[in-house]
Amino acid sequence: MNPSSLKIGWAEIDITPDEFPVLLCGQFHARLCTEIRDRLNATVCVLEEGGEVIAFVSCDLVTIPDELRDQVRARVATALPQFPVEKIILHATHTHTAPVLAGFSPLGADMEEVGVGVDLGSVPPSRYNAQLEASLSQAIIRAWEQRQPGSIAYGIDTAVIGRNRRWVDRSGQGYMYRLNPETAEIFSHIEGCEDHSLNLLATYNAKGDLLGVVVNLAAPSQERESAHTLSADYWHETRLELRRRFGPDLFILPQCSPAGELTGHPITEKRANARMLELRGRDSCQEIALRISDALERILPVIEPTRTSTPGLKHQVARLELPLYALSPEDVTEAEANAEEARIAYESLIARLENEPDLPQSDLNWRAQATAAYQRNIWHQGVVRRSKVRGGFPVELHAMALGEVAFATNPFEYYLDYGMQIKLRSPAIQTFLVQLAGGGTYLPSPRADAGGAYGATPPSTPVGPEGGQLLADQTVALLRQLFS
Amino acid sequence: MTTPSLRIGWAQVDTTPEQLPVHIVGQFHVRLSEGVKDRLSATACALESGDDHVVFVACDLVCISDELRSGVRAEVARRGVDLDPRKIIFHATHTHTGPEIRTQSPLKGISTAGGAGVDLEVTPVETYVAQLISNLSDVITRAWTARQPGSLAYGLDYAVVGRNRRWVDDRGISTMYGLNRETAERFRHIEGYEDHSLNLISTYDEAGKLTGIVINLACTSQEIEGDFQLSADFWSEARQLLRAKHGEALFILPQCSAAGDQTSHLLTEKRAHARMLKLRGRTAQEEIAHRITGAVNRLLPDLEPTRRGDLTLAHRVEEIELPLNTLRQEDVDHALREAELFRLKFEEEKAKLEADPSLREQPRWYIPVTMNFRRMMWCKGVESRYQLQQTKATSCAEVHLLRLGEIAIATNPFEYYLDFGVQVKLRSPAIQTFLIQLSGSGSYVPSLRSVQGGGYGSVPASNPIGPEGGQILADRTVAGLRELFA
Repeated sequence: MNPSSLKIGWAEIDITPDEFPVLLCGQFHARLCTEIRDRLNATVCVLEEGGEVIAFVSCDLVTIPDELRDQVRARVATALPQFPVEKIILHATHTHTAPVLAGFSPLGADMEEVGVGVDLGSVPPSRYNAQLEASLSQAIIRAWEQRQPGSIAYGIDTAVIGRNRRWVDRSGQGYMYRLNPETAEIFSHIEGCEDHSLNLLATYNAKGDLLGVVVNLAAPSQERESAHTLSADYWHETRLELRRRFGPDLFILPQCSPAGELTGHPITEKRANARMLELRGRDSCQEIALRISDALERILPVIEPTRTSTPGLKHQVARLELPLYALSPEDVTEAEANAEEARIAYESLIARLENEPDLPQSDLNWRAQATAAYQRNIWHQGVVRRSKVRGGFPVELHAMALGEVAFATNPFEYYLDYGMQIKLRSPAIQTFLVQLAGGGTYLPSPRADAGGAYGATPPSTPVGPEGGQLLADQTVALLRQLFS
Repeated sequence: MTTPSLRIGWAQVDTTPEQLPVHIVGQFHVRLSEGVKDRLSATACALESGDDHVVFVACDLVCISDELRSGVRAEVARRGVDLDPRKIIFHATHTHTGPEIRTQSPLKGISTAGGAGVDLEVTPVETYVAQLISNLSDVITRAWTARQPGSLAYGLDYAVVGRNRRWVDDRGISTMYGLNRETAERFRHIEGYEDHSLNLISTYDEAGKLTGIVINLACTSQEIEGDFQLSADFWSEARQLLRAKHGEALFILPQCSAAGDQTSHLLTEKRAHARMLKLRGRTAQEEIAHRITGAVNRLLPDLEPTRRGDLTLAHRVEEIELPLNTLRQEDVDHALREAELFRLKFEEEKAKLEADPSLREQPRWYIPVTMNFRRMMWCKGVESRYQLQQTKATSCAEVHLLRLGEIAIATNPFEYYLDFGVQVKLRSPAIQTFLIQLSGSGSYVPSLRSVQGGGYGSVPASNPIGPEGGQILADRTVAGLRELFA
């Protein structure tokens, strides 16, 4: 074996919180969680070849705050001084049933500092951050230390999972969800497209045994997004199913391709889909797990003969400043009014505590309303705060060539239109895009911005279409440099 | 009131032309058939329950011309078959490697109805239409006669087959296909949506044995659309695979849901998928066949226990007047300018042939001359339609609306853009809705957003009916289905 040929290391670690109750992340209202539906995981895949190295760390989390990323890197740097820690890429599956984290995306509010407006007796998020920092750094170190000569193969198939959740009415107004018999009468079309490609990178040990898979698809993991119990969402069922088919020791590293406007929820044909789930005796997570597993079963036998131990690994990190969403004076005025409205609603609900001090524990509806009003106030205030910021939105962008395959990350819930642009213009035969390799928030397409609504309004979008296009162009330019 | 009792009959007929060569239809330029890659067929499924009935006839054709439809209905009536000829629904898979069947068409540029501009040695279209009228009358008669008590089941799964073929650039201009390394730099997004749902009806005989399947998906059958050999396109491979799994006697009736802006051709990730085809040793048609078969195989075991023979069938045939796409004088002027450019090129090509008759001995010599002739005719069609609009404001579309137990079925004669199909499915009162496009002579009915971008398929020359008519058709379809389910 050529000493400079590919070495691969895998590790998986349980990142379920040690302390309860925790707050779950992903909705405006606070969800206090004391129960575990299924355990959360992080999976690490380290690739090293010819002096270059990369570490993907996929986490059952909603986002990756910059502080978490930096602390993990710092811990690894202490333990492995020779490891180039800027090559560590943390990315989230976007499960909406994982804990709130301390830290923030740039220009956002720190969830630890802000809280939820009501004392629910939850464990401070920073305690979970500390646990995560230790666990993730430990897993990275383990994957690095266990790396062995191996090979990779790659392929593509399709699985219908990520569905567009935005639609446009006959007046051109955009919506996220909210389709019901009444609004359906003004429905014009689904705003954008969908991307059902399933990109697969398979890794093998020196004997040619399948060790692990990187599964990349344009669908965040949020089927159970309103639940009050901890869950990795459909990746839990997917891990079970893949290990049932391909062996209990298989490592599975999920990646979410640009899918800002996509989830697993169909907004059309809901009754037909629900009927099929009922006939099959499955929930939607199990159905998704089968679709992913079937795609892998179709791909793996075909690509195995193509595996190579000398693909050629190149990696580049770029740090960009994207222009902030171009706020108009009207946007700011509207945000001030909305923030004030939410503040009044919140204070009115809080005023009831004087006579009913046990409301946070006794009335879940009150709790949801009060914490949602509090969060909405913070959310709208963000627009006012950003209107006073000079400068741009800092972004860390990773681009990588692995033989004929390209990888590129972004920290956002990046709308699919940009993802398609990058894939189309990429010099690679196959391109794996990884969103939410950072603190998140929506980065809408121009057509979504034109339609508005949640996910494409100023409070949702610190960076707008101008920044989104720049990010796509810069990503393509970086990939072209790597492949030139 | 007695419980309705379903009776089902199936039949299939070979519709490959007996006299070759024939005109192959689906491109501007003429293609004379150079053989048979795989045989064409038509499949009929007759359903009767209570006092109502329907016969679906799926054809390996690009569209269903008015003269074909009326010819078959007249022949069925002449034969004294005990069914209402108006309740026969003909629909096309839209294969672009099937024979021409239009002897009259407003779309003279993309049919032989306007001629070819040069003399060609080819079987007259009328000869094949006569054969087809006989073939289809036979298959309908046999299916109707063969109907027996039976049951059916239905379900939904997914197969990624139909892909949106229109994209929008940084100026908001839409293009059908045309993506290459240079144009990709201006690409901003795929214009519309895709619909990967695969809707399935399975039928069973009295013993519970699977007899046939209706497969409905939003994709036309034109993967090999430029070929010169006759072919049913991917439905040929799909039939083979499905029969290998479920028995050679299985009847397979393809339906194309609203898919005016869809085909199976990829705009993005082309190299990655081409590599997978190569690794798998498959053609694109074979890959599609595997995806369809995979979905059907997943569905059938789940549906079988739900089969029922006591289903209500209600079938309504409506003639809907749709407003013609209003053309402006400037649309005509633009089209005529284009027509003149093509006329000059046509004359140039024709002069070459006249100067050197030996050119006619070269393979496919007729392509440049017919291409320019037909593009000229296509553009001139705008003027004809403009003149027609001075006296006629609407066009009549035959639409079938059905309730079959919990499912709805609705047809339209167009290449109906997906946005309208999604609207109808969303607003339909049924648990599951099967839409069938091209149950008539075709032509694009574009979505509103597509005409804003323009491009082939969404310009006046392509659209006798525009977005306004498309919306009326969607609204009328929904209203009709609601009445059937009320």
